[in-house]
Parts: sequence; structure tokens; C-alpha cells
Amino acid sequence: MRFNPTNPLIIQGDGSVLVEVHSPRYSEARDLLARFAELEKSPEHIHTYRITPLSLWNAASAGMKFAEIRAGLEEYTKYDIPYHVLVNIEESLGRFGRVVLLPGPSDHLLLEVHDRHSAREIALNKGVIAQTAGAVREGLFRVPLGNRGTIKQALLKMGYPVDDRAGFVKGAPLEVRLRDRSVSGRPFALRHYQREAVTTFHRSGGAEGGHGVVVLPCGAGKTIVAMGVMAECRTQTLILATGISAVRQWIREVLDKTWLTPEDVGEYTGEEKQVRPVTVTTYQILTHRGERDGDFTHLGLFTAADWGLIVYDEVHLLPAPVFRITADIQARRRLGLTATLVREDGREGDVFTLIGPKRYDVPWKELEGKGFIAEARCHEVRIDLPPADRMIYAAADERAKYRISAENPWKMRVVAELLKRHAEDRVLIIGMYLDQLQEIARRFKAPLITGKTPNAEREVLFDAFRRGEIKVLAVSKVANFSIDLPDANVAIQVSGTFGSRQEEAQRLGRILRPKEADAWFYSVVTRDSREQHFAHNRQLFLTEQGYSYYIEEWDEDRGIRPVTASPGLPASA
Amino acid sequence: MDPTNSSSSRPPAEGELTDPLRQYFRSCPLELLVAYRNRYLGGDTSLDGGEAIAEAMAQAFGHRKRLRTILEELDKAHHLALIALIQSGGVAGGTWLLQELCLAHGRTEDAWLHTMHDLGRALLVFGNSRQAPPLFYVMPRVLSDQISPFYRKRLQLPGVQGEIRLSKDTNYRHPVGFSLVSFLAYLEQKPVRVTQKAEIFKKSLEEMIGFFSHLWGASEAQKVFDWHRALLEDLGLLVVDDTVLTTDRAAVQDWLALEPAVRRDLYLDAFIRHEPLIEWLLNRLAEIGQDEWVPIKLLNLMYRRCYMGSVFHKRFVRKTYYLPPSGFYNPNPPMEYLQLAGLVERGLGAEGSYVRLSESGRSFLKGAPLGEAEIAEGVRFYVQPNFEVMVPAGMRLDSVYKVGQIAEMTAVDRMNTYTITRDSVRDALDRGWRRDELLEFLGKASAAGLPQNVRSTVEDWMGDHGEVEFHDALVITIRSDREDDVMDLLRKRRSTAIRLGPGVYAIPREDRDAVLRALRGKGFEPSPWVHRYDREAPAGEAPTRLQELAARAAAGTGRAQPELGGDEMEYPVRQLVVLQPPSAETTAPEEQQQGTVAVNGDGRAIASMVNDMCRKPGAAGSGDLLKMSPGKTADLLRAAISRGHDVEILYRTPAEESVTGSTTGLLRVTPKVLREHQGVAFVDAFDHKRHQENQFIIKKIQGIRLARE
Repeated sequence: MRFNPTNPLIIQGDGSVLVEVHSPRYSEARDLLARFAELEKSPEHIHTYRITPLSLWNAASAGMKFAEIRAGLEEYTKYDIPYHVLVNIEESLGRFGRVVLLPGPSDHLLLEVHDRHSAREIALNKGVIAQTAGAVREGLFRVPLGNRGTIKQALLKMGYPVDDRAGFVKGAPLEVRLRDRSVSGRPFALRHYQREAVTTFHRSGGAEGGHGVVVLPCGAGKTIVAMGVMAECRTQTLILATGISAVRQWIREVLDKTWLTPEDVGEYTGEEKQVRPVTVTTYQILTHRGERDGDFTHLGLFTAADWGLIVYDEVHLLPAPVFRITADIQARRRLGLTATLVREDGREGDVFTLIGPKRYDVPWKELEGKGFIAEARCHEVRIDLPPADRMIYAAADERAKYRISAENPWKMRVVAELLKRHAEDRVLIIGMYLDQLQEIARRFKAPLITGKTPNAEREVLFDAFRRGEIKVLAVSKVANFSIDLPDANVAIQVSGTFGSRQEEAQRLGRILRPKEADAWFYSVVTRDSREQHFAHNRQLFLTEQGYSYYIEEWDEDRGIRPVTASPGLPASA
Repeated sequence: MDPTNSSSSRPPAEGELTDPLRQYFRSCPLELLVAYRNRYLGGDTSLDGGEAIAEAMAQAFGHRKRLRTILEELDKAHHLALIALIQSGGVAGGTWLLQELCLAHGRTEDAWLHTMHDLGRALLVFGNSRQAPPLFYVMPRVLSDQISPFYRKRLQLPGVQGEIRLSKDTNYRHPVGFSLVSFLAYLEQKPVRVTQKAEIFKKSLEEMIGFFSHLWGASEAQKVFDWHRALLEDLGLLVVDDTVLTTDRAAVQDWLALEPAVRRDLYLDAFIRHEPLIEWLLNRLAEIGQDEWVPIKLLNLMYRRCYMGSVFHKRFVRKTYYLPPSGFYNPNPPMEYLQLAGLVERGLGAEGSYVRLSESGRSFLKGAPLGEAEIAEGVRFYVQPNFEVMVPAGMRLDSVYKVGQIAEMTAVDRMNTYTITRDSVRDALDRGWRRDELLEFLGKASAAGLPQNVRSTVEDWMGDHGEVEFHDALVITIRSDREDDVMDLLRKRRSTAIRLGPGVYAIPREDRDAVLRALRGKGFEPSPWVHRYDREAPAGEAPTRLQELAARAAAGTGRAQPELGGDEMEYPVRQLVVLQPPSAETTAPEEQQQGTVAVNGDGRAIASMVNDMCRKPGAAGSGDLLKMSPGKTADLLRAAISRGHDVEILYRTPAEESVTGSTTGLLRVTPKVLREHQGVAFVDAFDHKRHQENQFIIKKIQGIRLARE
């Protein structure tokens, strides 16, 4: 077996690729891998990428060839490359471009298959043939315009990714220009990676571009990339976001950084039903039904205007009905934005087919290194259960045990110490149990935002926090998604749902916006309890994402202290 | 004797080897010496005494130029036959050799029979019986040694360079040492249930093979698995404990602690037990240049001759001529076994398959243990903050094993993945890891230390475990006035010695002998006895399989000897017969008759009868017990009856039970009369074993030969 210990890549037999971060050749190898493999996890020393058919088709759509991938892997590999891995890569790559969707003469598109064997295989597949309007000749099929999405889905099921070059409708024109200085008075320009993302997506308006996904970490400015794309496309745009707070944040951003006026930008939510040249809506409203089995009430929004561009925010959360309607609007440009292509429901294939291939990706460590996103430090503070609660805990059932440990009264004292430690910072205290949050709000005189807090009141509190009038804000899980609090740099998590990785990522995302101070993310956990068991899962998730994670402990006599020497504690610690 | 690796890689110099030659010729009977004289000394009748002829012949064969001249008189076929016989170690079954020559070089068996007869007339090759072909062709070792150097190039494997690429589907690219240790770690963590026949249940087997398939390659994973299991069982590292296949942990630890050279010998020993000629094969391949390949066809040919030569040699020496059923011997080189061991690799070229030693194979032959060529200095594992331990191939094997004791193995590949869990930590403590030792190992042996969050959590998991611990060490006590001297000595030797109290130290058990030697070397006189505190002193623990093997490897016993020749006395010249003409009907010319000397007294009487049954040489099997049709068996019995000879027969009852009771499976009988009853032919014969007359159905006689007087 060949063995080159100084190289950073370990190509495993299952198609995963491990990268040694400490290798001097790490950066080059990472840049290579990012083009055709998905980053699966990135704990401190060894990162795991996975080469999948989808990741390879994404690479192929960007013009990458097998020889280039092979040469790159051979250049950086530590051991021999498993033969079957190379075979699989070549085979998967070879499938991209074998089936191309082209503009047709009139009301049809043309599906061209560039391989005789594949053409016969496709011709025998009932699912695919049902989506066509017959064959022109062997290897060339007519496809009704309305079946553009569904035939791509059917072909992907067969293992044939479609290179969609059928082009897009222009949409109603809309002049979108970016400001040099934002309305709030700050200088504004696209950063280099945002500009690259825009260019790579748009491809000068050609049919090979105009649809796809841009992957950027939280806080890296995905909204700004979308505005850059809008400026290039110059067309009316529909933006789909995850919730009402996110909708308003989008509107604020668009108005702040473009020359569009409030009359140009509309909110289509449960509270407002404005359809304007740029309309921002939520996934929830699009998937709303009057009755349980009734029709979706607001799907008409997709055809309410001549949209030339549809932006899907947090595309990894895209609900199934939106996929369905997306299949019907394949003639419109589509931009997906996300921090991760990995979906909990495994529908990455639908994202590839219906939104488009990954167009741009940049490792978050690179952005963190350049100061574009904050460096987060995760700390877990372990505390004992007060003696009085120990017997109650021991006798409780499993579910109650979790709650008892989550609501450990000593957590208040830990929070007090942490607030003292971060007296100059903007702190979010995040919890799951209202009683506990109310106690925190009362004790630390912090405003509380829960699900029952009206939107208007939330906005007022968020504004006050942004302006620095409020330094500590207690929030329930409503704050998990898309609240932009650019100045928050400390989060203290006092309780959470049962080890949800999604929740953990979103909570951490709240403090990753770029700022001068580092970001601190604390979890206060009861030792030797059900809570610690679940906290362990969260710990695994965060470390797999590449965050540094330190354990501290607290006791009545000595307060918070590192278990062993903990590097990087703030000066006040 | 290893004909292709003769110590004399050049033609002998003047006077060389004359002593063995002298000895050989002196041992020849006078008739044979006369034949030699007539053939090679011009019939010089002035040399009339045995001693004089022997001396002259020794001089003649010891003289390089004269020997070259003798060999130059032979034609190409003679050379090929001589080479084949030398490659077979000087002994080869008669029919087998003819067939082998046909297979390798074409021509008919009859043609080769004549060629061999020519060599017989040249008194270079003999037989051991008077039929043609004889049961065995034999070339006395001294002649073979003398002639081999002239064929030096043709006796070696040729190295080939050129457009030969590594074959991807027949080479196993897994790192062998790493794979073996990972396999052990898997079984320690997940002992698998086995049937009463020690076969792994299908579900467990599939699970296990699936687990390793990324490392081994999915298509051949079963073969690699079988190889791993067989080798580790052979080394005593795997045991079937009741109904579970698991490791012998003590043996594994001993194995990993062995000196590399001993570990290497153990591997080689195991290989040789699997196939005695493996060392010979590896050495032949090692003679080829590093960038060169050997055509597999030529390797097969050479191995086949060597292999069958060793078989015939044993049977010749033991006089067991009964040939086992076809398929019993496998004269193909165990290439797959060596490929699975990572020692050889195959290549494909325009003209077929090639083979060569891999880098691992070369290291192995230089004394490195199996797979140690894959180990690189400074390769370490990583403990990640997400509790994963990433163990790369190329790391020290004992460290790979230790990680497997501490963390749960979750994936095996070029870089293994383990996860540290609460259970795995508690298991490690139960297995004898000490708290501090465990943390120190993870911290110091890993490439980037132990992440703070992992350390804290592991400490939490360990809880109070380990407050009281048992230690396994050897305690040495030192008189207070000598304590400093002894400790100085141990420090200089860099021996581990942990002070337990005044004059009381703990040392690793395995250091006992070394410490004892060191102390004695410095004038101390410690007793070799270890004071034991067992309730009842054990009579002596049964040594593990590994200990036994290590002792055998160290002593150099246990290893099968690939030597092919053995002692000259194993086939004394007096037992050899000058080769007979190819057919009894052939009237030998005068010159030939002159050379046909019956060396053993009874040979001539038997010869004509044997010739009767050997008109078709193939019918005689491989120069062994004759397997003939009932008709021919009856003919032979008639001939034996008419000449009053005994025969040896292999005879079985209908239940296929041997009635002979003899260890060789043969029954000596004196045939009296052939008869027939209701269509069944049988012979009345005196059974020498039971001392009574019996009837033997002829068609049930599975083998027959004339008995020696």
C-alpha cells in the first residue's frame, strides 16, 4: 500500500474523504474537495467530506472533469485511492450531461439523450415516458413545458441528472441597484466571495446559470448575495423566508441596501397581503390550508406576478408542497440560499433537481479567519443538582427527570455569574421552559420574548437591543430562526429541547453575525442527569461543526471555573 | 537441497567438490564404476581397481572443462530434462517427470522416455526400479551439485521489465498489520457466536465482512476474512471459547510486545505450516530486481517442479509409493495466500500475468514483521472534540490495539474511526486500564493531545472507578545498601522500575530475564526463582499457543524444512538402478546392454515381468503402486503366480473399510490361482498378515505391485 504520511487526504472505501487539518497542504486539499464533495463534519483535527453522486453532479455542472478530480485526489492522498471509489466517481460524473433539456420549437422542450444505451433505458421507463409527449427520434423526446420539473425528478430517480439548458422567462422588468452607502449610513459593497457567488450563479444570464444554490455559513451575508443576484437579473422577485421575523428582516435589508422604495417591496404574510415587484413571504403562508385536506390557499402567489426570480431562503428547510409548486415554475430563475445542503428529510435530490445544483460554497473557517463571521466559543458549565432536589430527581420518571435537571435552581446563580463575566456584552438568554424564563426575566430585569409576545412588541424589543438600550434579552424558542440581532455576542442556553441539532445550530447562528467581539455560547447543564446526556449530543454536534468546546464547572464555594486549564477565557474570567 | 539456489552460483573451480565426488564414486559398486570408466575414461583398462576408477572419475567430474565437454555432448532435450530433474531436487516420479516435460516443452512421453534413457546411459540419471519409466528418476545430489552451475541462469527466475501495470482486481491493497489488529479489536468488542464446528453464524459473518469491506474491498472480503481468521487462529491469538470466537487477550498483548524479529518468525512459521515451500518461493522472488516482474507461467513451472520434487523425495525416502487421489497435491504456488498477506503483487502485461514481491514482502524478507513496512515514524491518532478517535493505517500496531480497548470501533478503513463512550471507558477500566494511564495514553500518544471537553467528560465517566486497583507486575526487593547500585544499573538500561517503597520496586513481568542477566553481569547473584504468593503454588501454567509457537520459532524447530535433498544416505547409490530401455521389446544395442548394469541383485528377474505391465508407461501411475484395470491386474497376478512371486495389493471391502490393517494400506499375498464364479473374477492367495488363505475379488484390488523379496 502506498503511504505518504505528509499528505492530508485519506480517501476511504465508503467514498468519504478525511482531511487532516494540521497538514501543511490542508488549505489546497480543502479547496479542491470543496468543489466536488460535501463537507459532512468538521471537528478540530480531521474533517469529513463525502463524495456523492449529487456532489459530483454539482461539480460536473460547474465544468469539473474526472481527470481533474482524479489528479487532485492522487496529488493529496495519503494512501492508495480505493479503486472502486475512482470507478464510482467516473461513472457518476459520466452521467451528468448525458441527458440535456433544451428549448423546443413551440410549446415543447426537447430532452436529448447523448448515449444510445441510456436512451433505450429511458425509453423503457414508464415514469419518464409519461412525462414526455413522444419521441422525435431515438434519444430525442418532446417534453411539455409544464413537465419540466417532474421529468427532471423522474430522471434523477433513474440516476440521470438533467442538465437543464432550456432557459428562463425574463419576468417583468425591475431595476434593482445596490447602494454604495446603506440607508443606515454605513459604507456598503459586496465582499469578494459574495461577488463570486453572484457571478457564478448568474453566468451572464446564460441558460447554464440562473438556477442553483449558494451555500454560505450563518452571518456570511446570504441576503446580500440574493440582492446582488436581483441586481443582475433586473426582474421582479419573489422571496420565500422561514418566518415573519425573517420576512421583515429581508425587507429591512432590501430597503437598506438597494435603491428600491417601500412601494417596491411588499410583505405577504398572515398580517399583510401585499404583492409588489419584490415580495417577501413565508413558507408557512404558502403551505397554509383552509381545511386539513383542502387546497393550499396562497399558492396563487407564485403566479400573481410575472416573477423573473424566486429566492428560497434556508433551502434546507423547504417544505414538500413548495417543492411541488416549484416543479411547476421551472421556467423562472431560482436561487436557493442555505448554510448546509444536508436536509433532515433526505430530499437533497429535489433541491438539486428543482432549485438547481450547488453554484457556490465557501468554508466557514475561511470566512471566520478573515473576520467575516464571528469566532464562536462554546462553553458547557456543569453544575450539581441541589441536595434537596436529588431525591425528587431520583424518584421521577424519565421525562420529569429531564425537566427537573433543566430547571435546576442553581442555574440562576450560574447565569448571574455569566452576566457578570459579560457585563459589557449583549447577551441573549435562551430557554425552553416559560417558568424558568420568567424567573430569569424577573431576577435579572431582562425583557422576555415568547411565542405569546405580539410581533409589534417583539420588534420594539429587538430594536432596543440592537441600539444597545437593552443589554440582556430573555427569549424562548421563538427566537431560534432568522432573528437578526447583529450586536448579540453572548448566548446563554439554560434549557433546550431534547438534543435537537437543528435548534442548536440556529441558536448559535444568532450570535455569529460579524462584530468586533468574539461570540460566546454557554450551555448550563446539570451534571450526571438526563440533561447532561442530551447535552452530550449537542456537544457532539457543535464540535462536529468545528466549534471549540470547553467544559467548566460551578459549585457554591468557588463559582465557575474551568475543569482543567481552559484556553481562551475572557479577561474577566 | 535447493537446486535453484545452489551455493555455487558459478561453475566449480578446479579440484572443487572432488571430495564429495570421490565419496560418491567410492560408494558406487564396481559394475557401475566399470560402466563409468567405459563411458568417460575411454575404457582405460589400466584402471582396474574400484579405488582407481573412483579417483579418476572424481577428477574427471571435478574438472570444469571436462564436465562442460561432457554436457556439451548432450542435446537440447537432454539439457531440458536435466534441468527439470535438478529443479525437482534430483528425485521425480517416473511418469510424472515425463508428463511434466511434455507439458512444459512439448514432444511425446515416449520421446522423453528415450531422452531419459540416454541420460541413464550417460550415468547421470538413475532409476529406483527396472521398469521404464522407473518408479522414480534419481540424480545423485553430488552430480546435481556439480552440474547445476552450468545451468545457473536457467535455474533462476528471469526478471522482466516493461509495460506491466499493477492488476487492480487481484491485489489486496489493505494494510495487513493494521487490518489484523483491527480485526482483533473488532472481535474483542463484539465476540461472535460460532457453531459447534466453529463456523461463524451467517448473520454475524455477513455483518463482520460488511464492517470490514471498505478496508478489504467488497468483492473479495470473504477471502480476506478467511485469511485473517486462519492466520490469527494459527498464531493462537483467536480462540473459540465455548460457542464464541474471541481473542486471547493475554496472547495478543504478548504478541504485540514481542521483538519484531520474533513476531516476524511467528508469521513465517505460520505461513510455512500453511505451505512448506513459501519461504523458498519468497526467496526466489527476492532474487529478482525491485522493479522487475516474474512471468507467472515460469514461476508456476519452477514451483511445480520444486513442490512435486519435495513430495517425491519424501515418498522415495519413506518408500511409500501409494499415490493419493488426484487433487491431494496442489502443485500451484500459493499466490493468493501471499497476496492476501500483502507480500506479493500481480501485474498484467501484454504477454500475460506477472508477479513480484511487494514492498511489504521485501521488508518481510529483511526481517520486518508482516505489515510493518506500512508503519511510518510519527504517525499518530487524533482524539477529536466530538469524542471520535481517528486511527490511521501506518500507526504503531500496539497503539492501534490500545485504542480499540478504550473506544468503540465504529468504522474500519484506511483511517479507523472509534468513539469514546461512557461504556467503552468503563470497559477499559474493567480490563485493567488505570485512570491516569488511560488519560495519559489518550493525551500523549495522540497527535494533538486530548481536547479539554473530552478529558473532562471522560473523567466524569470514570467517576470513582479505580480507587482500588489490582496491579500485575513483578516486584523486586533490594537490600538497602545495594539499592542505589541496582537502580543505577536499571536506569542505565532504561528499564522501567517503579518504586513502591523502600527497597521495593515494580518492574514489567516481561523484563525479568533481561533484568536478571543485567544483574548477573554486574556481579549480583539474584535467585532466578520468583517468590509466589498464590494460595497454592501452581504446578505450572499451560503455555499459551503463542508461547509455544514463540519457543518453537526461537528454537528453529516447528518450521517445515524446504530442503529437498536430505542426506545422501537417504538414497544410497546401491539402491539405484541403471535405467532400462524404453520398451522390453526393444532390443538394446550392444553398447546399451553394456551400460545396463543391474545394481540390485533381484532386479533382473523382476524386470521382464514389470516390463510386461509397463508397455504403456502411463498405466503405472506416478511411479507408484500400480492402478490397473481388472484385466491387467489379472495378467500381473498370472505372471506372479507363474514366477512364484508375492505381490502387495491395496484391497478394500465393499464398505470401503481397509481390510489390510497395515499402516501403508498394503497387504502382502502369495497368489495361488485365478478363478471365476458367476462372472466374478477372484484370486485365491495366501494372506501373510492373517496367515491364512483368502479370496480377493480382482476388481476390488485398487493397487498392486510386486513385493520385494
